[in-house]
Amino acid sequence: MLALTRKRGETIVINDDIEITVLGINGDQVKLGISAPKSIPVFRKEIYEQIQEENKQSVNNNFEVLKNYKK
Amino acid sequence: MLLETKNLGKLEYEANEVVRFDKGLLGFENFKDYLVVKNGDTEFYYLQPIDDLETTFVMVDLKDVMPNYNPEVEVEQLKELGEIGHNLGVFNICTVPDHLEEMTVNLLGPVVINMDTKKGKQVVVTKDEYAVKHRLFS
Repeated sequence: MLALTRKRGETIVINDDIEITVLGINGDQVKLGISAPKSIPVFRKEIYEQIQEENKQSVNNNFEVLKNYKK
Repeated sequence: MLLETKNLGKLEYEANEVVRFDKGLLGFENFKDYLVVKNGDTEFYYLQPIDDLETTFVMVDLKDVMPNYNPEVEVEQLKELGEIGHNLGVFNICTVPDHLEEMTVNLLGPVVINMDTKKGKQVVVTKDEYAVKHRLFS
């Protein structure tokens, strides 16, 4: 993993069209500003992990329950 | 063609019915081709990976069940689904335990399928804080 040291207000550029700026530092929290084309999804990693985990759990189904289900 | 699935039994299908998820589902990036099978006359559907006959996802179409669910997604995130016409389906993956009333549905990561192009994608809802485990029947 590439490690870059940046100060408050400084920016890194990824692939010409994504910019990540250090907006503020407060103790162990860093506030980042991300500017990217709308086609690039930007989310906290926890969100992805939450959906991944939920997908994995969702394969354990009781299919009989659904087969007996009536609208 | 014929699939012998563990959960749905034998499924007959034509090649043009296969829905392609170029990125798979989150956590299942290797499963890219699926059949969408309606569960009788209900709002539930099965999403059957063609490459894993042991695994079957359950999805629900919330249109009638939860009409106030309106997930917002950047349209740019759907461009890989091709031209979007009238046949855009939005489904949510469910987990079905032994009792139906305990069933949960993932509102945060809906599955969007363009039936015209047979392309699908699991997206992340941008604006709202939806739950991954929403109880549908309680």
